[in-house]
Amino acid sequence: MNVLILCAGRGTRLQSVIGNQPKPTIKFGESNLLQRLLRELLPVDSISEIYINVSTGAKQIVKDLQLTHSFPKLCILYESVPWGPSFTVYEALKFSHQGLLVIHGDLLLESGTLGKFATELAIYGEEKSIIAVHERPRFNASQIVRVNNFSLVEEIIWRKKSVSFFERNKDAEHGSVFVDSGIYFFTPSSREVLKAPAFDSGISEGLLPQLFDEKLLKAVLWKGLRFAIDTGEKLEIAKNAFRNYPDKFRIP
Amino acid sequence: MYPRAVGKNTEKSSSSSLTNYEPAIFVDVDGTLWPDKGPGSILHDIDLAALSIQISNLCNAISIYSVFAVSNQTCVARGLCTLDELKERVGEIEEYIRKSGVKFDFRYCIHHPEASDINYRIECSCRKPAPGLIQDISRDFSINLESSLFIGDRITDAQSASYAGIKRIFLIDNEKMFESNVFPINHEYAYTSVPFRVISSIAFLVNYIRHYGVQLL
Repeated sequence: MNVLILCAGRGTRLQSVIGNQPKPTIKFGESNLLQRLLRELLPVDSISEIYINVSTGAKQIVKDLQLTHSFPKLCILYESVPWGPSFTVYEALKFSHQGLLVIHGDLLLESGTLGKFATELAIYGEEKSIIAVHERPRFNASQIVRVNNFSLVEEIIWRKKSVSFFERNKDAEHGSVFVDSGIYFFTPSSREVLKAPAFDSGISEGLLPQLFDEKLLKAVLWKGLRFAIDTGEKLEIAKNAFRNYPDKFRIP
Repeated sequence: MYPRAVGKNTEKSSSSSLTNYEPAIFVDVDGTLWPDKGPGSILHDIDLAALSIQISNLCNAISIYSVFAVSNQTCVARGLCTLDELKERVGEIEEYIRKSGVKFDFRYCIHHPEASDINYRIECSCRKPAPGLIQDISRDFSINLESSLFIGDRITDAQSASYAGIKRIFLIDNEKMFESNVFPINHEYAYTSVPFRVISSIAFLVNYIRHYGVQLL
């Protein structure tokens, strides 16, 4: 399995708060967001390569990564223009001949869960689908299986927004729900189907629904605390969580 | 039609004895083979003996004995030396490296979009990040680019190698890595991601290959 961490965004919605600093370099404690992700992913034996996609702010993002320490597992995937996640995934699938786990670089994740999850995904991901999860226990497994036709479902904890989504959309467009999870998994056969990148759109408006229809993209399991940081408001929420639950985010 | 690279080795080499579609090692020079002291670094003192040993070690580790240096040399366009002086310097380096038994060829682009001499102020296909130099070499020496590797120090090096079709690209860690000429947004090469790995030096790469083998790269 390979991993793609998306760090090429312009971060326009956070510019008023953090200026031109790239989102993955926002620090929580001793480490920034990207360093936290890598610290969990690098020790996972089943991960062959980790692509770090950079464009805007590449120099700042790469500066503190100590890439040579993780040679040759870490690979930079540079775009002179940030075309959006759909394009990047399309490009990464050219190089990756294995399943591809895609993670947004602006996620603050509870320590210890991502590495464990990546290991589970490497074991089960190729043959079984896994569902995204977090926050509120509103759905039972059978509902999710019925709606999404997934074969493996663990405890389902989904947030409020998704409740209404499932109520409104029993059978269709389930892909867009999982965009919010910020973590996706592409099966190796995705490369064959993914013919053309959606240059001017994010993955949610671009290829994601199509890939779900093709059953090539799978949502993922997430049991721990998880914060996507793309606005000032979300940054504050993440900072509060980090302050209030220091044990959950402490890196071993 | 873009002009091709200018220099003494731009025409097909009659001395090429490489069999068809062999891999090769492509290297940048300023900041990679010797220190980057700005335009005209090649004119400064270069420790040719150390350079030769470094290239030999690399070739022995990878078991590829064809090395091609590809470089933007703006010293002529900037008036720092004449084309003849540059050719003479390049010839001196080539001759020294070849003594170690390595097949070595040095290709360079002398153009610059803001050259003081109007003769060199050309939008060419050989100035990195464009892939012209590598493509010319591939054609002239029947090199299999997909199994070749590239070592440089700037993102423009990686772009040039990637656009030419080289998969294994290594950049030496340095502060100026991302100082680059970005292609215009509508340029065909702007629609491509460039994968590369970061190394601390050529010696680092040699040591890694000696320990773990080249197949893991």
